[in-house]
Amino acid sequence: MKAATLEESDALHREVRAFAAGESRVTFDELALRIARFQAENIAGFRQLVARFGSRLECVESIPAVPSDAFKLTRVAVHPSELDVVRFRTSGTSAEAQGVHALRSTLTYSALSERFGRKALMSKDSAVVVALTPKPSDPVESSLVFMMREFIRSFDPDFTLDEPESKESSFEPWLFGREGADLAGLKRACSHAKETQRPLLLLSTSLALCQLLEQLEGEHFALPASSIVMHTGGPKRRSGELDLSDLRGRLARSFELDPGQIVGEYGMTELCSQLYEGTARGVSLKGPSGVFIPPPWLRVTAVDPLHLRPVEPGTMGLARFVDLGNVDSAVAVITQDLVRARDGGIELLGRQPGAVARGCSLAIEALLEGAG
Amino acid sequence: MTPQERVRALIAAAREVAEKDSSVGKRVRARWLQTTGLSPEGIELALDNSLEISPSEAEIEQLIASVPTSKRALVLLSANVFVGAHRALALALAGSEHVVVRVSRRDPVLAAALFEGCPGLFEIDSDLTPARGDVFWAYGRKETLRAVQTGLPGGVQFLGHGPGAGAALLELTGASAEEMQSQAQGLVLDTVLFEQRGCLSPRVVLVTGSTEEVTCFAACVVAELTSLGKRVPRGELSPDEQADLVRFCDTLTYVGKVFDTEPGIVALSESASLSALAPVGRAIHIQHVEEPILPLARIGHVLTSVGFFGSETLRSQLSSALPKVRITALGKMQRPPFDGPVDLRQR
Repeated sequence: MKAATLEESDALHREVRAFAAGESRVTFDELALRIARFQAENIAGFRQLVARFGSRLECVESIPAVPSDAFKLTRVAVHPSELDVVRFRTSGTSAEAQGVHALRSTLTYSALSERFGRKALMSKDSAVVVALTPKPSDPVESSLVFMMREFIRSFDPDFTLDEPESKESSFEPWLFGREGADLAGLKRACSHAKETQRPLLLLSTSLALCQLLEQLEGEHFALPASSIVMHTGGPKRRSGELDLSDLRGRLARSFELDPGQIVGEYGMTELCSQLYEGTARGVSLKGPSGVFIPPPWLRVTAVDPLHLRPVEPGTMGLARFVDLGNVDSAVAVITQDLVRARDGGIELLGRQPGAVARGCSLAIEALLEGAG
Repeated sequence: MTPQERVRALIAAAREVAEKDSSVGKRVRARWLQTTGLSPEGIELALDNSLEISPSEAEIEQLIASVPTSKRALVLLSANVFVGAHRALALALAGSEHVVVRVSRRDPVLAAALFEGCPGLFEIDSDLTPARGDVFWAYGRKETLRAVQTGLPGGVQFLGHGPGAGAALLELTGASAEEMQSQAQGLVLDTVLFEQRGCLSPRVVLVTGSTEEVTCFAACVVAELTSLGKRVPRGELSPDEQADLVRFCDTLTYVGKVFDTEPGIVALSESASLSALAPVGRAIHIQHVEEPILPLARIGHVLTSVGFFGSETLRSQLSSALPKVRITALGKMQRPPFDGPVDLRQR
């Protein structure tokens, strides 16, 4: 990789962080187009996609979106693999079915996720932060777990920036093990939150929260007032197994919290930015329940699956993301998640199932299930 | 009637259906245009290649030997590829004198025509009531099969056949230009038949060989798909199927190289991942790999058939890795011998 390319990438990263901090004069559109041109120059696959679309990269809408499947089939990166500092992997049933998002720097990822996470999840300067996931080992391969670790480091003064397990903390922030959720650990974290008069921020996947509720067997587990439970995942492959509004209600009852304190997060391995519901009390992000609001550096458009053009407002379409955080991978990504624009954000409506098999052929998703 | 006579009677009725100018032949073709999503030429291609109307005596004997016998057999048909009902009925008739069939509401055409062609050979009923001692043949989606099996009374033998997919594996090292062309021709025929909606249709194509050999093969596939496309226009694709093709095309444009053909898509990549399989509608993703057996073995649970070209050594590795998969020549994937169920995964 040429030094000039690295320099250009570094400059774009700096510009994106400045944009996120509100310290840039460059507009979203200008920055997105600069990143798209940088990627077209340095990634052959994207160049081919641009050529196929006949795009001259003159406006954000003309940036061809890279299908998220591409991350499973090939490397989506400007830089060579020797420069990777992390490789986030998508969930999948086998190594072959997993997508990889390789980053050569986590600075921008951390800055963006911390900035918007604070807006959506923090009502005070600091919180007691715990995650319902096993303690990660380096290198972290899940972007979600990476983000959780960043939140623990940034939002919880009990943990230093370098060592989230250090200091004289009386509790462990990683609360999921072989036996399931660590209820005793959660109790200790609650006590600590009460003692220090900080809210508790519980970070989790929806599935892990289901497991926690099962372990509680209907018993209430009151969290300190103004605590927030962030949950993510569910509306994708396992949507049939998980009713998110039901889960939210059960969590609110069980934790004795206002339902608005149960905040949904939407993120995906292929993106460096996340969306949140803006329902919690005292936080600066505001929005109705069920609406996931993007940060200013992420634009989501619902597009029709056939022509990839924006659908009428209020109509369901595939989610097309333009994420300024994806400086070194794919600035525009199209997923199979169905969304509808509403109130400055999007509603998640499940996953485009793919064509229903008309003969005895297999739907593509079914073919992959159980592979490996 | 003996099993042989029952199967032969069914084949005779199928022969009449295949006859373009017979009254039943004309009638079913008109209906199939509405139910199959195939073009008229696509229907003829499927009838010519995939409706078994002249099996050998040995195949019929093998077919009879492959099925369990019972006094009564019940058959639950699905909207399979449109010729599928023929083999399904033959299997039931091979094992039982008394066969009761529930046809698919979506595509009842062939079963009804065969019923008309050989009155009394089997019954059609909208309600199957299985009882101890019956053999129950069921075709359909995995969920349907599970539900049917769960609801069966004790003493009923259940034989379920769910959806599946085919793959192609070609070892191109040292292949001549003629071999490349004939293999491409075979692969394209297997692909175009039923527009890849069949459980034997190739959805994965793995090739080994040098870059030049693979590129040359891809060019042959493009030429053959274009040529056959002119003679056999693609049928109608649903909006979802079209959307899958768009996504496939964009993904493969990023990952490898896409050649547009009229109609259809051929893509060439170096990816060994089977996580973005070709959708239906004449999409061929040629994946240039070093080691083809392991990726195929990983999806072995859904594979019904592998169209193969290559050395005996590789064939033997393939059959060891996939013992329940039919390994056939390319161009024959959609016409397996009439020797039992097409799908051997239940064996």
